[in-house]
Amino acid sequence: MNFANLKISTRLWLSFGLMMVIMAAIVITGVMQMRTMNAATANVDRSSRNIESSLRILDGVNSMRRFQLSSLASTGVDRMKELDRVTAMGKALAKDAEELEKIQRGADTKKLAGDMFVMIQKYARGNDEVVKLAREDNSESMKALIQGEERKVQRQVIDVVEAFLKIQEERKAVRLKDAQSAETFAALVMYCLMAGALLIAVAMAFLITRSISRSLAYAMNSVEQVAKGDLTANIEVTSQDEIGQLLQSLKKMNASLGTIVSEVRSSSDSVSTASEQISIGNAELSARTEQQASSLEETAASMEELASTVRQNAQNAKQATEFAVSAAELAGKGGEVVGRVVKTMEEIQASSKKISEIIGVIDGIAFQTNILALNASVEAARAGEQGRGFAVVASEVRNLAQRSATAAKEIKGLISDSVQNVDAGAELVDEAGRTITDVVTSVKRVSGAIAEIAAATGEQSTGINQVNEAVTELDRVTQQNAQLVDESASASESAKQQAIRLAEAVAVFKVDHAEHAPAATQAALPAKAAPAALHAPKAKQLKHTVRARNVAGVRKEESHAKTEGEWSAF
Amino acid sequence: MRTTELMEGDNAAGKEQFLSFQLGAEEYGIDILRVQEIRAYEKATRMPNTPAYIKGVINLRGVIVPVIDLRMKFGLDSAEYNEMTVVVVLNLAHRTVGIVVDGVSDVLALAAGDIRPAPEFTARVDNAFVRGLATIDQRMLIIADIERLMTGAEMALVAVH
Repeated sequence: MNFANLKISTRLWLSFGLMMVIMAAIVITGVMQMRTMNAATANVDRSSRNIESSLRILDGVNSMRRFQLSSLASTGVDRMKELDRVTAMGKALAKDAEELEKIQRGADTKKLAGDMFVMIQKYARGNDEVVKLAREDNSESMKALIQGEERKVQRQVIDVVEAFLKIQEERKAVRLKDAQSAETFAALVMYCLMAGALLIAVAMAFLITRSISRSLAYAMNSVEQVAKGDLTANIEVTSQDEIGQLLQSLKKMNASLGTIVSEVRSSSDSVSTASEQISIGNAELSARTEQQASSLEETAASMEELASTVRQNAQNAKQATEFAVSAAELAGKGGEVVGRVVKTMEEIQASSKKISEIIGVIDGIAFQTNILALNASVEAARAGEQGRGFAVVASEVRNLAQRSATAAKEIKGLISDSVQNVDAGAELVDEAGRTITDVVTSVKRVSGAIAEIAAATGEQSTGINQVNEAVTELDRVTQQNAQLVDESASASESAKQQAIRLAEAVAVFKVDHAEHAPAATQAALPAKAAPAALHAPKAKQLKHTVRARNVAGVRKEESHAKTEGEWSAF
Repeated sequence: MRTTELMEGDNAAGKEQFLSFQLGAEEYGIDILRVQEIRAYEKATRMPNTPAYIKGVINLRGVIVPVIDLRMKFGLDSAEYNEMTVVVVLNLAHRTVGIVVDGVSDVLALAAGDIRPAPEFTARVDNAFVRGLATIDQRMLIIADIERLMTGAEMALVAVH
């Protein structure tokens, strides 16, 4: 396994692990040494404790002795008290000695401690004697015992204790020395270990640091290059640790940066092209808007003419109405005259009728006369010869009757002629009346037609107004269009500027495949900006004179209303 | 200006006198001696259960006279009754009958020679009573035997005085 290909974390883990192991070793060693030192110290301590115990025992024995002596000095209760003290002390000492013996490990000390125990017991027993004597108030024996045997025993105890002490002290010194040497040894061991550990640590630190910092330096260098904009740097990935992976990623980043820059460049190119196209389109649009404006002008002019025509129409309609009114008046007069004629004719007819009646009467008379004459003839015929003269008379009468009838007929004929004439006249009058009625109707119709014309003229004027409004609207829209063209031009201009800036921004980068030389695009853009700028001011000119010509000058003529009112039933 | 008007001397020459009257489009002549009088038409009182051609009866100076409409009798188109309509009151064999005619023209004197015999199909009239035809001025007169006409079987309904 190549050290360099280990991951840094692994390397660090390894180093630290090693350090930890060394530390553990050092600590364990230290602990072991301390244990040794502890053991040595414990030994020393044991000796000290032995010494302390034996000293205590010694002291205790001496106290016993003192109490005993003081008991001699005191009397009564105090004496007993002292002696009790001795007893107690004796017991305690005995226990101590017993304990001391137990803890001895060496045979000699054990023996001595046993001796101590025995001696103390002996002493205690001696004290019991003393107590007994004290109770007996035998001061003399007491004194003798105390100062005799007891003193001896006490001396013996003391000797033993001192012997014990001596041994113990000798032992203690030895043990002390042991402890010291152990301590020295331990220190030495620790120092050695420390040195070794330091060495290893330094070595490891050196190695790892070097490897890491070298790779890092390389990586930094590469990144530095990229930061300067040189995307052409070739990054070598030599290891597979984290730095290596970082370099790998850096390489990829490099590549994608290059791609991005290339894309940005091409996009900025496209934006420039698009902006140019927009400018061209704008120019066209503004030209068309101008055309539109001029068309609107023409439309407005046509509307003006149309409006004046409509006005004329209205005036003519008014005139026509007036004419119709006067015609109606004349017709009215005519009607009046006709009415009078009719009346006259009716009178004539009435007279004729009367005459006819009279003629009828005359005719009837003639008829009756004729019949009478006939009757007379009949009678005459019946009468035969005698009636001849009468028959003549009768025939004369009949002649008369016939003449009268004839005259009546003539008159009738005349009357009927007259009546016919009157009828004809009446018919003519009727005709005249009808004609007048027709005239009236025609005039009414004419008035109606004129009214319609007037209404239509009104509608026309309304329509013209609406068209005017529409034209105004169109004009407004055209202006808006011009504005939009302006805005569009400026927007496209700013887009172009943005594209230029973008190109400049990425011009820093050096890419492997330099398809778009930034300088070239920069040169192309300003040239195309000019024509668009040229067209923009023209577009502004469209805010101009296509005003809504106020062609609403056609008043709604009231002519149509007037004529209809004048016509009553005719 | 009737050429055959009654003139002096007519009666002596054997001429008969006829009363001419119109009935429908034809002119008839009847013997004047049968005629009692001529009257203007007056409304006749219709008698129930009588044929249609019997117009009714009139009061003629106290005499009740039946009136017959010859137009209807002859089956001619019925004409209206106006002021020219006359009733010829006939005296026939003690019966007085009135006939409604359209008009009376004339009293004429005709010789027997003026009367021509009638062909079979002259008018829509029962030919039995037609004595003949006479031409006066371009007018054709149907000379009728009034008595024969009025006393036909169909006249049986006429009241007998």
